[in-house]
Amino acid sequence: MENDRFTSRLSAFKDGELDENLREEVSLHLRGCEACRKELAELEQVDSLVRETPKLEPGRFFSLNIVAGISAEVRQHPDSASFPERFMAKVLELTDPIFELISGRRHKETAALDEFGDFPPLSMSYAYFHLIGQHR
Amino acid sequence: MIDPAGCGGSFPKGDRDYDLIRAVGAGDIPAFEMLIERYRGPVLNFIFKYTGDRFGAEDIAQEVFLRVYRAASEFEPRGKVSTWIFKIAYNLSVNEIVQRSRFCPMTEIDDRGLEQAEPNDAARKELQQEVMEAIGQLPEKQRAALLLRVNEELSYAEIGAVLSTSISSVESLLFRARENLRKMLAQH
Repeated sequence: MENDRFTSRLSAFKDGELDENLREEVSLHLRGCEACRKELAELEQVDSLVRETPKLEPGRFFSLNIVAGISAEVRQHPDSASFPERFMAKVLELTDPIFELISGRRHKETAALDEFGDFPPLSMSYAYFHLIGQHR
Repeated sequence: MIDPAGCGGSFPKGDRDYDLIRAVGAGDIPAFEMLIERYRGPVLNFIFKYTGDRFGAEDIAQEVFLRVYRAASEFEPRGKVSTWIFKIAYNLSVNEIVQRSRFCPMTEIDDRGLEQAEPNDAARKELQQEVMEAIGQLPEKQRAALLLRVNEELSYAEIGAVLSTSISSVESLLFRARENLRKMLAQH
């Protein structure tokens, strides 16, 4: 019963988030309680296992994609952009082909209708796209 | 009103994050790139481990920074910039999970794009996978609190601001998260 009172505070004790009096109380209890010391050691082990889980590395173009996204927004709404934003948008516009050359990937330029125009032959949608001249 | 945490109203002088966010708010792209550089790893890994989706994590992380940029000029220095960024990351991750309606546990750890463990260390890799799966089985708020505390070392007050909950709730969430994880891992 006495242990239960302390067990529930061990997590906050470990994190240094208890007030001074309570921290002192838990410290004193730990000196004489084998079960709580074991519990504390197990909580520390759990944390260390969580810390050791594999980490993702951001992709090479992580930042560039974000800045490119912003510059695309600026291009759509040039009036609301500040001078540095307009300047960077223009720089990115000019450097896009260079990055494409380095990465070997070309940004896919698709029209909205192209995205939806991949219907099986003889379907109604295929016929409709054929009629309006959007078939491939 | 962007950050509900902390107190005060003006930017503390000499704080690197505040300097950066103020510059970003003024449209300073190099400052924004510095802010991204500083937080992209922690934000990406928080999202990855919270959602369990390594393929979607980068898209969500990029959206986090886009939102940071758009809202930077409205940022109120009531709390830390890091807390604000993690709050955006948490909210977007919650939305993602709601859309998917479930956590997407990794069925196998794929080394591509991940920090490499010891070569041929199959036992370690298996243990990491078990831990990832156990984290994925935690209730969502417990999972978020645990990741923010253990991996990002946020204080209970900061975690409370991210999760919009009280400090005593954070203490309870962390205690239960660690207990649950300990029990789940003991079964293996």
